Amino acid sequence: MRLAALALAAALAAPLAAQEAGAVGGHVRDSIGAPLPPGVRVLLDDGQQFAAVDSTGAYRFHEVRAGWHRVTVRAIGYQPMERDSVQVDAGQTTIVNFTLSRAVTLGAVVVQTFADSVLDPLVTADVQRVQGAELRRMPVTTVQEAVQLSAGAVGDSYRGGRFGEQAFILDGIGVKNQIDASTGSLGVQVPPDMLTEASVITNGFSARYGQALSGLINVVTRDAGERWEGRAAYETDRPLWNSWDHGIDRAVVSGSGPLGRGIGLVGVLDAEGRLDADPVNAPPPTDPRDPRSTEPWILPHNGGSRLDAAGKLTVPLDEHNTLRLFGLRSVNQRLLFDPAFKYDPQFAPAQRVAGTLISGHLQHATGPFNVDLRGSYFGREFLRGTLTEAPSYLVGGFGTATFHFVGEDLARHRNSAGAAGAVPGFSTPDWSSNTPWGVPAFFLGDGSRGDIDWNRFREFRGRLDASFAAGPALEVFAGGEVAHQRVETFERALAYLPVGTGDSVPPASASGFAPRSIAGYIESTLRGPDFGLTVGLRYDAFDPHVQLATPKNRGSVSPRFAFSTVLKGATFVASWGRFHQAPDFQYLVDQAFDDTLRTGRFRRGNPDLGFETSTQWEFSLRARPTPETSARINVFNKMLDGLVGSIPLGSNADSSIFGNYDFGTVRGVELLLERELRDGWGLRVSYTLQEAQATATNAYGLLARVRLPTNDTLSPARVEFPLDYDRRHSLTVVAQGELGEQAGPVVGGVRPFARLEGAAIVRWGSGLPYSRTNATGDTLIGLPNSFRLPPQSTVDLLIRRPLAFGRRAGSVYLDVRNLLNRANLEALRRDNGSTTLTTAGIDSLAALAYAAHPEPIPFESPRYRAAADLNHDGYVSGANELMPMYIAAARDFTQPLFFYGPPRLVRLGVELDF
Amino acid sequence: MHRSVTRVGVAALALGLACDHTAPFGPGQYEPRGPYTHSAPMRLTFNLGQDLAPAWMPAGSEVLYTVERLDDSTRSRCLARLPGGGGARLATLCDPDPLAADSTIVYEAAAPARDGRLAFVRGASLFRFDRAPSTRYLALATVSDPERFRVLARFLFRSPAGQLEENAADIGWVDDSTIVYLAEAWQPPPGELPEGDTLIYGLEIGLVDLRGGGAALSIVPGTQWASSVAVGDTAGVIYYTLGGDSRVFRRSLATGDVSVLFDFGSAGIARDVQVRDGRLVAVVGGQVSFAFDSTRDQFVQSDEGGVLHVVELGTGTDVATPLSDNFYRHPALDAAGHVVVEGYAFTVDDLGDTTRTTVADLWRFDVP
Repeated sequence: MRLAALALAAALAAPLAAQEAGAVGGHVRDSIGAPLPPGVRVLLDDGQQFAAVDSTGAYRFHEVRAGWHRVTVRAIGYQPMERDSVQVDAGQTTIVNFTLSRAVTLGAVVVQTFADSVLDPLVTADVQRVQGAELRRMPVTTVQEAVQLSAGAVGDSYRGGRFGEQAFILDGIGVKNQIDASTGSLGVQVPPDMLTEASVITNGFSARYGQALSGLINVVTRDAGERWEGRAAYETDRPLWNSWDHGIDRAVVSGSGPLGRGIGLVGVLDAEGRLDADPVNAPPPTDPRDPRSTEPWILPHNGGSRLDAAGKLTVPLDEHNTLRLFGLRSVNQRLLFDPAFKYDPQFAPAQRVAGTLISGHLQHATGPFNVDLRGSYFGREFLRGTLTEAPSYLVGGFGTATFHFVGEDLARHRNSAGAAGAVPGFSTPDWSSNTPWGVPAFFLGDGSRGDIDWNRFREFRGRLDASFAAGPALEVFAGGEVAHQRVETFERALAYLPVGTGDSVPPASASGFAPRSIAGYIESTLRGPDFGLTVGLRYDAFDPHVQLATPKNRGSVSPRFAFSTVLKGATFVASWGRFHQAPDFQYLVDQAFDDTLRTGRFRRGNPDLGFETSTQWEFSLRARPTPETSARINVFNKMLDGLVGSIPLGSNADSSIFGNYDFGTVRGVELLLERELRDGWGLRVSYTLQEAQATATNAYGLLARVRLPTNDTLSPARVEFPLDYDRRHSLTVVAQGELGEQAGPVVGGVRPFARLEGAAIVRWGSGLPYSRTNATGDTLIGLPNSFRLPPQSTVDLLIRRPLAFGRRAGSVYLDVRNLLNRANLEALRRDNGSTTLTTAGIDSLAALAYAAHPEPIPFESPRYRAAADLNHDGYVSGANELMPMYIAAARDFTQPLFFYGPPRLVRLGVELDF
Repeated sequence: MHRSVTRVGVAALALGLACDHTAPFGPGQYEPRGPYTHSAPMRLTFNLGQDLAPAWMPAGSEVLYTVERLDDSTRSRCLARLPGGGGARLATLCDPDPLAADSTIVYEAAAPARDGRLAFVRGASLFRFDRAPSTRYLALATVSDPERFRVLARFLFRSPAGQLEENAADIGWVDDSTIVYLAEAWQPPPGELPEGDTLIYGLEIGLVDLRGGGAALSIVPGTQWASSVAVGDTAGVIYYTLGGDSRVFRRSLATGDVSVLFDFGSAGIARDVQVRDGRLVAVVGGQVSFAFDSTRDQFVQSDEGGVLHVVELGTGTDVATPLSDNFYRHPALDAAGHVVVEGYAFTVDDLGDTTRTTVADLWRFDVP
């Protein structure tokens, strides 16, 4: 039977329980083995959920929010028993067994958690999680950084996928930037202090959730406790100097507690400012005249600030109904360093991303039958362009004012007619005269590039989830959701020029449409003595609500199955699932851009795009070699199809249209070993061997087609090559430790190492792929992404020393990222596979610039540099005097900066609990 | 025990908050400060194109002048601000309209007022190779944004005196609402590429009355063949010279009284007059002639520069600056006695023939 079930599972797929919730189950027994009387009730928390025990004494609560709970059992003639602080993890079952005694003394309570989905056969998902409390002990700042510790993650790419192929589930409802998830951020960021837990699920996730191909990021926020508590923290690198000071300031204030009548409130404010929000570990320039040579560690006009504010209200309406209201506002403002504006940074671009999420959750829980009604509003606005005025700063890189951009009003009103002329506020860029080299080349000033880029995404989403427990062995989930969206975009390039100037200024592109999507699902979980079976079916449909010549049916059915069983101390899980996600809506509208390879300057939007699809199977084996350790091995294969790519449009080699053309395969093995934090230390090791290939590296990757003399088109052999995030080997080690009260020597009457906590994260990854071109940059060498960057590695460290501030607890901590200050290469020049241009290349650049402007520079010109006037005649003139300056300028302009990853970043922090 | 550690923590926090972050690097000051040399006269500009029509800014520390761009094939002429003591240009104000990139745009004869207004001549050609501006305006704007100008007069036009005015020079502010200018004939040589000298000569002195928001044009009586005009320290008074004449005249616009301020006599024809704080500066003699031109049927003063004279009006002392290697034109005198002037280098060959460059640079003299 087991083999039959395995065979069935191999052909089916794998969902799991609600990603926001877990379950509590167990047995209630009499202490002497006598039968229990009828009417034994097990209560959860304040009785909002209750369960009856069956004839075997088993009980089970499903749909229990992740977090801490209280379980009570009452039976006539028995002493009531209560177990407080029962931790429930999303997607897992926490076992709480009771042994009731007729004696007056309190009976024994056994709480057992099937650790990390190791042995629980009902847990069919690959879950890698981090608890909110755990996050504080690790050298990570954001929830995003925490989930990126999962096996196989490369930044926001999971299992080799493109950006945006993951879904973000916040308290059970999806939040997704559907405009440009593949190229932009989500727009909202949950403060870590708001977190109960965050997890990443990369195999068959529950049929409840869609809009993802590669993974599910599940975030559960915390409810208020029964007493007021809070935390204030501040971290900075101010006291440090030179390369140790990157201008970081971060402040966090959080508080939670009861408001009366059972109402609880949680509020968090998390603000961070950085003078350099994207620091690089690039070597300093060798020319002492370059101002960066003496202070290479902070790039100007590269700062940023982030403000995340969240609040949550939990309102128990009655015994069985609870209302949760959640609000989150994130504002991320960035100055963007542009090497061309190195000496006139006020004209370099900036961007602002603001997101608002408001959600409500009405939970009805009566034991066997639960209903969750959720609604949310999500709005995200993106602006990039030229600032109307220089930002002002309050503390470090944290500004006080909202960024405003030239042409912002035109963009918000999508006024393409009003943007047909030169947009007021823009000035024409010219060669900068503020450089040490003086010569009119490479560096720009007087005006910006003239870009206005704006989009806004708004969404109202509602969903209903119902679950029914037909006994401890069978649970059924069903529900659906409706989303009404509003997409608005505006782009204008070279806005200091009227549209059409010299046939080189494209018209502003503006779009606005209101897509709708619906989804429905049904899923059931069957639990046997030593197996679990989950079967789910999901239906998704979306309609962009744009005019189409031929209306297209955009519906998809996604079956998901999983089977798990216990095999001699290990649990085996086989899962199979099909996943669909609507494409980024940015690919439905026209885009004009220029890329470094000139593979395209214009992409026609395609409102006819359909779902992107993946089909994945996975075998997973989990074991617990010792009570403290667990091991897991996953083997997976994911087939991608219908991903958005580009194909040439007509005969214009510079134009193309988006389409669902791309397909590929991701396969790999993941190995995870974990020792829980006990006896002062814990360890988690994850290794991934992976291959991710497709026919296009991203949505802008061009799929070539050949036009025959007969006017037919022919697709040549569709060769797969590595995707952008095809990291073959990746290793992540997370080590944690803590010392006891008496640890370390006594120094001056103090044990400085007592209760010291530490966590280290070691990461090593083989090189990501990149493409090479010939020297002129117009022809690829070999296939795309057929070359590899060097491996990357980092060591991050956090050491915390608890302290008492008066009667308050607190701590001081040291947070170090990239402890070894390794200069990781994140990119290389495509033309030579190096970080720097060759001497001949620099000479060639300089010669071209000199040929364009050979005119002498007179003394009164702001471009005159006395050191370059070798014959002291009042002019910098001729090749002898001008060429060295052009060469120095070319070397300055081409110095590698963003080829390098971040340097060592050190923060000193102090926090106070209250 | 914990108190000690706490004190350390609190001290560390206080220390941290008291510190400032390291600032990002920024561009340095690379352009020249101060003059190229301190020798007298001091050469202020080295541009291989034209540097013309200097005027002191009202504050006195900067000079506004017209600079010809050589990094642009249109060879447009922009306004530039230069430190009076020499050094790199502080700003160059060109037409910012990218649509004008293939046209020759010229800003000339700029006259800054104390309140930030700027009167000037703006010319524009329609095509790249038509370097002779096909349209010219007497324009009013501000120093900070000369391109948002108001047209006071559109050249060419027939003046009340019957002259065909084609250009304006020597623009000055008589008072807050009156502009004076030298009306000129402006005649390029024939041909499509007028690389040769354009013949420019004075016709009369005009006034623009800005009161009431309008721009009423009139002619100063008795100024036919005027060769220069200037305003001085006294409101409502102008100083001017006439073609072929060695005298400098003073006229009260209110009363119409005219007097001779100074007569250079045998030193030659006087023009390019400036009067400030008891000093008179003028260009006298040199490469100048005044004669009847039968082809134009009028008198024409052809002027390639002369000697710079400084007269102390209180004593009548006339000092001619040493004739070095330059002829001069269009001096600008400030109240402190600093003179910035167009200098045209000349050479004298063995046969005694003088060859003068057509390209001007700016020079500075400091009058004792």
